Amino acid sequence: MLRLLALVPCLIPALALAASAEGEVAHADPAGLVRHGINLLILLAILYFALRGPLSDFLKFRRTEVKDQLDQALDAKTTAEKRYAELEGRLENFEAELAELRSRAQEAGQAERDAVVASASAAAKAMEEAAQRTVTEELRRARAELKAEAVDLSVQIAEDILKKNINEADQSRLTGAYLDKVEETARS
Amino acid sequence: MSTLAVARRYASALVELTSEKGSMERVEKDLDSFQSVLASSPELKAALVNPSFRVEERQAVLRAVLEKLGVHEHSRNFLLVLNDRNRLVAFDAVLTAFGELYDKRTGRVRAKVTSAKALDDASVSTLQAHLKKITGADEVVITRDVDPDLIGGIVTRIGDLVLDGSVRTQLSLLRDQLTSGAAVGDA
Repeated sequence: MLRLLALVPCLIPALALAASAEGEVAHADPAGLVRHGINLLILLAILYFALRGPLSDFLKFRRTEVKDQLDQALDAKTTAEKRYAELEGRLENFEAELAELRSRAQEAGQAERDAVVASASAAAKAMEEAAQRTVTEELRRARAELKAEAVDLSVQIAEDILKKNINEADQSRLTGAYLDKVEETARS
Repeated sequence: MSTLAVARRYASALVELTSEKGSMERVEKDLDSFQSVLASSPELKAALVNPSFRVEERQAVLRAVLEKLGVHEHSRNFLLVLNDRNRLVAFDAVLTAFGELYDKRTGRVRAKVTSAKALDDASVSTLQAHLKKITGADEVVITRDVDPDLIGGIVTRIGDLVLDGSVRTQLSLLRDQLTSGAAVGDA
């Protein structure tokens, strides 16, 4: 910026000369044209020296910026290409993945079905065993009750027959047997 | 003091007295007779143990009864003492305790023989002899009883000892054996 300010006093005469020469253009003076040409060259030289640094910096900055943008664009392109390749690959494997998913789903379903069937079978077996035990127990109890009733009835019948038919001779025999038994006890 | 303890105390005193005087057997018979009278006349028993009657009134009745029974002097005095001390209510327990003490002192045991039909004397004598051997007692006093529910046979009880030869018990054993046999068969 300071360089630009320093050029201002140098530019003033050139500008003044150029301005004074405007009125003479109409006369088509060759010397005027030369002056104008010189002025123009001076102006261009001044502009060159004044703007050489900033312009160079600007161009460098711009070059770097453009390069970065190009790099970024290149990266983006590379990423996009990778993604594209990945998607393309996935698309190509989609059928296989789909088949695999289908297969896995079928296997999982089969396993679940097997588990449910096994569980149901176990429950059914347990119920059957419990029912069998109950039946066996009920049967045993019924048999025992029947036998007990049969025994009671038999003994009751025997008792009735004995009461009805026992006579004096039987009583004497029973008394004799009893006395023999007591005597045997007394001896032992 | 409980009725049993009182009865034993009175019975013990009576045993001591009658043993000393040699009147134990007679007194026992008198007391048995008196018990039979009380058993046959609940009104008399109620009157003798009723505390609403004065002791003198009860004593007069008691004296009259004992007079008619012709009991021994020791028996009469003992019963009068029981009456004076309002202990006639425990007479049955006293008599039982007296019998036990008497039995113990004389080496006598009591057997209750129950049969389906009345036993003849010969059978009772035979049984008595066998029971003497079994118990080792000097004397076995048998009380007879008839229970048709036995169906047949005899049951003898001497204290905790039971000699059961009844048909009823045989049938019961048969029932048990058949039932347990059925149970074993089922197992």
